[in-house]
Amino acid sequence: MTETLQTVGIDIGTSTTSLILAELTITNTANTFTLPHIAISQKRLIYRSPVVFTPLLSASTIDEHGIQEFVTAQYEKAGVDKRHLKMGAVIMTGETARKNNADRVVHALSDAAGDFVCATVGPSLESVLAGKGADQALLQRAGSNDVINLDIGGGTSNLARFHDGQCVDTACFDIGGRLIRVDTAHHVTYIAPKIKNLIEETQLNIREGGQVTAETLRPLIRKMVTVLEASVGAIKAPRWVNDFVTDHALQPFHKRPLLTFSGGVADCLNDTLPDDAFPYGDIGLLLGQGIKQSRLFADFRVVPTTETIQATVVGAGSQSMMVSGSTITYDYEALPIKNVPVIAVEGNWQWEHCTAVATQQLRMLQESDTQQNVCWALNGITPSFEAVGNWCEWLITVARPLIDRRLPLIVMIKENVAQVMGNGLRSRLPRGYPIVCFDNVPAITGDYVDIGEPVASGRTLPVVVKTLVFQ
Amino acid sequence: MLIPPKIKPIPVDKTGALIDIRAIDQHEILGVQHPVSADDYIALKHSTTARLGLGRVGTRYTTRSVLRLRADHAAAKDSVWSDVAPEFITKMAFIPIQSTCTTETEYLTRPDHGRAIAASALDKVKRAYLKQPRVLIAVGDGLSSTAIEANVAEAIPAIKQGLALVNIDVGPVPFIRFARVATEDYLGEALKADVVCLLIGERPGLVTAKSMSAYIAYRPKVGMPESRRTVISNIHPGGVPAVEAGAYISEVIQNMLTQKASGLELVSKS
Repeated sequence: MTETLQTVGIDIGTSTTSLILAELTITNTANTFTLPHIAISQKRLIYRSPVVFTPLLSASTIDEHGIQEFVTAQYEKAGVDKRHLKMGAVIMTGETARKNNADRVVHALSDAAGDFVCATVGPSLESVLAGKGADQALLQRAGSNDVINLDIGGGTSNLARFHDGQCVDTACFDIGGRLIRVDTAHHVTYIAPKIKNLIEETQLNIREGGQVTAETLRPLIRKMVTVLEASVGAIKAPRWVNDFVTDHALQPFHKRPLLTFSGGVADCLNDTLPDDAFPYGDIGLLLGQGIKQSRLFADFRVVPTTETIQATVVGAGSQSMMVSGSTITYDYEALPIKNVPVIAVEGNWQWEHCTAVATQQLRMLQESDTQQNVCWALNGITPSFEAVGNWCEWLITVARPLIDRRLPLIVMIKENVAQVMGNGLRSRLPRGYPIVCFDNVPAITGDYVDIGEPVASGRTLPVVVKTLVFQ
Repeated sequence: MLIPPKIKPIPVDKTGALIDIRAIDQHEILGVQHPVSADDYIALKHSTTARLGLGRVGTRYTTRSVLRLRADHAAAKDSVWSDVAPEFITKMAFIPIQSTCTTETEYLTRPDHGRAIAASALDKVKRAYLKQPRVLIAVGDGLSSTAIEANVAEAIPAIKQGLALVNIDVGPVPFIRFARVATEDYLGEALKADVVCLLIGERPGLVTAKSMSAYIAYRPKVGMPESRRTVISNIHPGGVPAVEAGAYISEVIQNMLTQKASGLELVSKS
């Protein structure tokens, strides 16, 4: 049994926007004589849009219609029907996510781009997707060396650390190739606010309207590279570096990781500059040269990637979707489910602790909206009939406020017990009560999940876990 | 001068007795000395049940690897030669019967005897059933008694729970000693059940001696082709958990009742 499904990724970045379409092949990889095991066996890009400048109406407003037109035109060119897209992700990245109408654009776009397309904004998720898109073969490699991918775009640098192919930490810094822009005569047309501060503090003679050369900019580029060197632990971070942390820095780690680079600046990692150092009207080439000559290359093993400028969009389109385990329980009417927050508990906690954590989280999530559903994530469940039964009882107790409102009971379990747990829940709930219970997808509190309509003759559910924080 | 080789002591318990080497998780131990990357080697070991990275002495296995291989082989043989504990059968409230084999040796040398059940034994099961069952669950020791003790207590309640959701009751469970797969055909004919599911111990291997299979058939008949059976194998703690397999088995049984078919015929209908 083999089935293909189409997914889409759309990345609206600080400077560029692009779109990819991917085709995922899902196959039952188990033999006929055992339980089915449906997995994504192949991921193939079927269409890649050109990289266009993100349409803006002003410095702080995105051109909503411009983006919609771009998406519609690309779908037409690729010959896809948006109704056939099973899943996908629109991601707003870098500085764009901080524009006034970012939220509205993303949500309006889900309608133009297809009903199953999830909309997301957030530097952590961007880091993960960029890392996964940059080179999945490398990142999925198990072994002793962690990999840190640095996705250096126009406005931000997104870092993701992978251990055994799993993203374990992310970080984001305000360092990018378009934080200073120049015209054809090399007059500065724009300097990002944080860079202005840095120029002031270091008393450099760079200002909007003034003319610059590669030489005059070099001390500033050096400072920007210092932020990146500090970000992966090549040097001890000077205090001022903290000003460039967008959300948070990486947690300390022990062993020296491998480095990979993606994003537009990854195409500019050269030792020499062309005659015109500003062909794109920005400092991308200079930043690339600065990185190439920094300790990032001298002290680390740098591994080339398969994707650079389109890593994030490739990640969003082909790497965000997972498939659940293949022995699961669900009510078709309860699907699809969009943007549901996760409350996770660990199997080795005391019952009282589980209940306290879950009850408190649920109260917090329902504070503003009592119709807000949640997804219960159970990790570390003993696969025994008694233990699964106890968890069913526990779920029905803590989820009582949701059950009273007849919201579907959504349960995701790490271990392979979803079908028996689903049966256990069904036998304890009123007949016909809607449940969705699946396994093989890990999630933690703070994640959000989208669950699509079943695929593979109903055996498995496509799931997107949107990780916003890391433990 | 003869230098004695440096051998690490074999682990012992508090009383000084050797600890069963099978209790040691081989996947966490790397026998290779001075590996370039021990972490990567362990990661490789985790990806397979094969015996990798055992190390060597000259051109040979280490004593410990050989002992371990023999211990695993012995455990596999033990589970063929041992019986399911009578206490276990009592605790599970099984109806104990036997194939036409009378000894372990006969069971191993005469597969044909292991496939049949005598009329008197079938009568014993019939007496426990007041009415004709739609679904009959049976347990057979097969080639591994260990597999039965490790899995059926988890699988059976999960099957029953799944079937109860569609209002199918499962009656008392017969336990067949010296059973081969085709014994389910005798049970099916005698009780006129629509579906018979036999949980039976698989031939033990060096990876696990605890693997169980379910052979499920729609209206099985003595002498029917093997292609009419649906098999779910590899049910053991390191493979498919018995409790989840039970839930899946109940789904397969419901499918068979709807499609009125099993085995290859069921595959072509669904």
